[in-house]
Amino acid sequence: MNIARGALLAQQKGLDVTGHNIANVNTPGYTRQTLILQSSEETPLTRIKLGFGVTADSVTQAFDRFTAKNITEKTASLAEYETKKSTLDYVQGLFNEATENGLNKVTADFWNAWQDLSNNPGGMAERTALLEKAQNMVQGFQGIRNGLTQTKDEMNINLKGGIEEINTLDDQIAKLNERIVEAEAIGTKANDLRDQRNSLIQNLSQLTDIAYLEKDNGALTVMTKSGIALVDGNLYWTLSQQGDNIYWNNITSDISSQLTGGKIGAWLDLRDNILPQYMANMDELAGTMVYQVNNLHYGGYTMDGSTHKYFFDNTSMGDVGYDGTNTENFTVLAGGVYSGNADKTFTFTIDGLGGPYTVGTDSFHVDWTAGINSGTINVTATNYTNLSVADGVTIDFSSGDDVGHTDKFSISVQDNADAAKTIALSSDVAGTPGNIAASQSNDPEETGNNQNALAIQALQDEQLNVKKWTYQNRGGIQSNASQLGTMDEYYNILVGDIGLLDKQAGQNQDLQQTLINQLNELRDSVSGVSLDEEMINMMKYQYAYIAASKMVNASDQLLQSVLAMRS
Amino acid sequence: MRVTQSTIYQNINQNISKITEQLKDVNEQIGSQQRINKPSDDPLGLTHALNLKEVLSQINQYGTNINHGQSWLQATESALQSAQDLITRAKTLANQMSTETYNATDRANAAQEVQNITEQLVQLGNTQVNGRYIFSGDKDRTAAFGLDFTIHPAVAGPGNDPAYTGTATSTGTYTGLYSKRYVVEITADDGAVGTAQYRVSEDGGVTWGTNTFTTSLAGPTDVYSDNSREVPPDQGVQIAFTNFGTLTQDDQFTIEVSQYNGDQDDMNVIIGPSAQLKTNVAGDTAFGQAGDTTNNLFDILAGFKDSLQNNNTLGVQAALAQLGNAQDNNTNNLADVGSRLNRIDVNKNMLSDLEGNNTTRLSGIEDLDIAKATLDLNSKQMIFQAALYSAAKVTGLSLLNYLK
Repeated sequence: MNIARGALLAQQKGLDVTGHNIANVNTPGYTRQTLILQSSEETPLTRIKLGFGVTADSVTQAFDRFTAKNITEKTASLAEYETKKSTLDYVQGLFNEATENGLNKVTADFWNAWQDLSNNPGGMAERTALLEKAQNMVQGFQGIRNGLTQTKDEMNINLKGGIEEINTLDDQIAKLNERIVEAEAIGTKANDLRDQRNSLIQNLSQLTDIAYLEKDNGALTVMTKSGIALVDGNLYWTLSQQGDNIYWNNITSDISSQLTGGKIGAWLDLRDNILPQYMANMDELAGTMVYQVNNLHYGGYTMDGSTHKYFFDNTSMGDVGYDGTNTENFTVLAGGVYSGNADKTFTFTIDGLGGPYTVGTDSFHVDWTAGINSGTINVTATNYTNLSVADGVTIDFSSGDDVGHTDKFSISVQDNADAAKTIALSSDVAGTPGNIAASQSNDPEETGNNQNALAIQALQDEQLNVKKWTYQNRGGIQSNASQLGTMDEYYNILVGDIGLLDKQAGQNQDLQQTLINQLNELRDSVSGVSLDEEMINMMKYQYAYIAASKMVNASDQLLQSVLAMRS
Repeated sequence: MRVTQSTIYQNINQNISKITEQLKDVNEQIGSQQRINKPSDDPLGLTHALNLKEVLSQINQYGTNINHGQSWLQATESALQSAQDLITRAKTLANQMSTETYNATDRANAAQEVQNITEQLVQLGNTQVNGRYIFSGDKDRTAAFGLDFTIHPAVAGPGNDPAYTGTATSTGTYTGLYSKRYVVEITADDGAVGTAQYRVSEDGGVTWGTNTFTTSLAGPTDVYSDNSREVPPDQGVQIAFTNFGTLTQDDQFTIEVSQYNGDQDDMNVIIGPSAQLKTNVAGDTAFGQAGDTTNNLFDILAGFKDSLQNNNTLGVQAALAQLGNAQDNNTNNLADVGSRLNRIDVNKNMLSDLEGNNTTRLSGIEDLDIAKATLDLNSKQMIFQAALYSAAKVTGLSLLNYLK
């Protein structure tokens, strides 16, 4: 009877486990459980050894640690590429080039408008049309650049959410660690808690690359792949975000460079490497456009015969900054079109007070009438052969000047940073089409002089050296190389680059997805629930149960016969 | 390998979503008729396509420029053609009037006709296209020719050595018959503010007037020459030196007196990558420069008319020879314009070929091969149906079906 009782209980437990498996057939992360049955030890009392039936020893999980770890890793990669792909999909949409209104088109229109102007340089309609086309192009540049900036800014919002998610997951894992340790201390396997914890680990690995190891007591230690501790036993450490920095445990030292892979890795790559690189290259292109057009426009003549007008806002010329300790109660205005190709700061020191003056160590001559220390002084770079970048820079001392001996000041000439953002029509031409310098003659009667318009439109086909930036190591390494070609080609290649990057991200995403699918199949082949198998198990336990109850029946009948003998 | 239900369902899910995505792509391509709908569809192809689009846009613009240039050249050609007829008429007239058959009255009448011819020539010289004077050089808003003479501003030159540092302005009312090109040279300055001496040449500095003139800063001074008695000493042209302080010996200034008010500048249009074509003929090239006695058509006609009025047969004969020169000059200009129009035709054909080529190339990159895409769509559809069918079959298989 006892054997039968044990068997009934054991088979029932078997049915319970099978039922649990079937119930969780669709639960993500659920690991198939198996009841381990053991035959009871035989009693050694008699010479005939008889077994004592069956006991349910334990419920184990069919868990493959190796595959699970692999899946964790690949999940991080997949999430990374998925995130990059979806962001790049958006970014390439900004360029809008497969349609008719991309920057490529509006730039071509801009150049064509210069040719239209060259066909009728005195025509107001042509001039107004040119300003309109130029404005379209300016908006094209700004639209792309602002789109890139916004996308970059969104990365920090994403990061904030991602970091909160990590903290929540860490908290939950720490709590599960505690419960698992408690539960397993008394010898039972906390299978379902472990499943929950595994699925949290999977979620965590979607956010960043992680590593983990299980301690003897069943607690899991989780850290980032680079070794930053996230969870240890029932403890966890929070991450927090301050601006562009990510702090660990509120220690104000940026750890973002140590977060790789997953969505967070992707957001950081996009924020610090991919997007800034395209922004820098758009800036180079816009800056080149501004500089080249202005350079020619500045030397041309407007309809009323005036000159030195800018076409685009002269962003390539930086503000004048002051430096030094001497009396500086004068204002210096920097002008001209800078013809160098690198950022520079010019420092001037006024040496003496008897004109003409030498300014600085490289013999800048100030053509300055003796005795006058106010008014406009033009500084020209004569005999200035040491620095080839000085060309084109002019300085005006505005009214109220009081230039003194050893006065010092400096002028910074900026590079093309932010040029695609700040590109704009100059106040010279905006709203005043007559100020477009189409002519190379100062005679206002030469309304048909189109020499300057011809020169400017020729820029479209001019082979120029434009800097092309490559960012690596999340913007830690920024290198540039000159790329020879027309401005249009530069842009077209840039769009191609983005398409290529997007395509590659998509291919990588597919690859990781395939790998994960294979790994999932592998995992499921060990840990997954097969309904057919469970049905068979169910039948197995069911028949065993029926058989055990038959045994109770048989024993009962035996007992009945014995009892009947007595009466 | 153990295969579980979740594996099967996952596989079905992934396969179907993959095929659905492919179907979407093919559908998008067919819908837009474009193979490339976003840069990642074919990054390299898109870069090529963008370059080609730009080339096409340029070609289109060149077409616009060429049409513009063509209208100018055609107008120029037709004006020069009419001028040719007028010259022929003047020549016929000169031929008749040089013979003794005609008397003074006939010649006086003929003079009136020459005046008409001159006026018609001025009209031709002021031909406009879209409100722009085509014979004025760059000064396209200024009428190229007037019936009256204009005294043009004094310009430093023609000599280059020494440098001209003086400033001179010209004024006056010209009273002469012919266009003039005076060169004024400073022969001596006394180094002090006040006076300088100068001489005048009417043939670009080859021969100089024998008299020198003294000028002072005080005001305009008559410029005249007694080099040749043909020109009266007082023609009304005056020069004033307004910056005497820097005026030095050997400085030269040129003053032109002519009916031409344009300049010598070329008008160019762009007809191809770094290829430009001149679309104008400057008025003084077409009808003669100031002071050029052998080629200036207006001067020749003025002389002709003068001779007719004075019943001067010899002068009429001289005019006949000069008209021949002028006609040669005009014929040369016509040939020049003709060859440029020819170049435009050649260019147009070339551009249209280029356009065709590039359009084909662009279409090869960008456009969808409909037949291929349709086949693609069909095969994707079949795969999709097969996947659905097999999914339906596989999911239906379960031990449960056989358990009662």
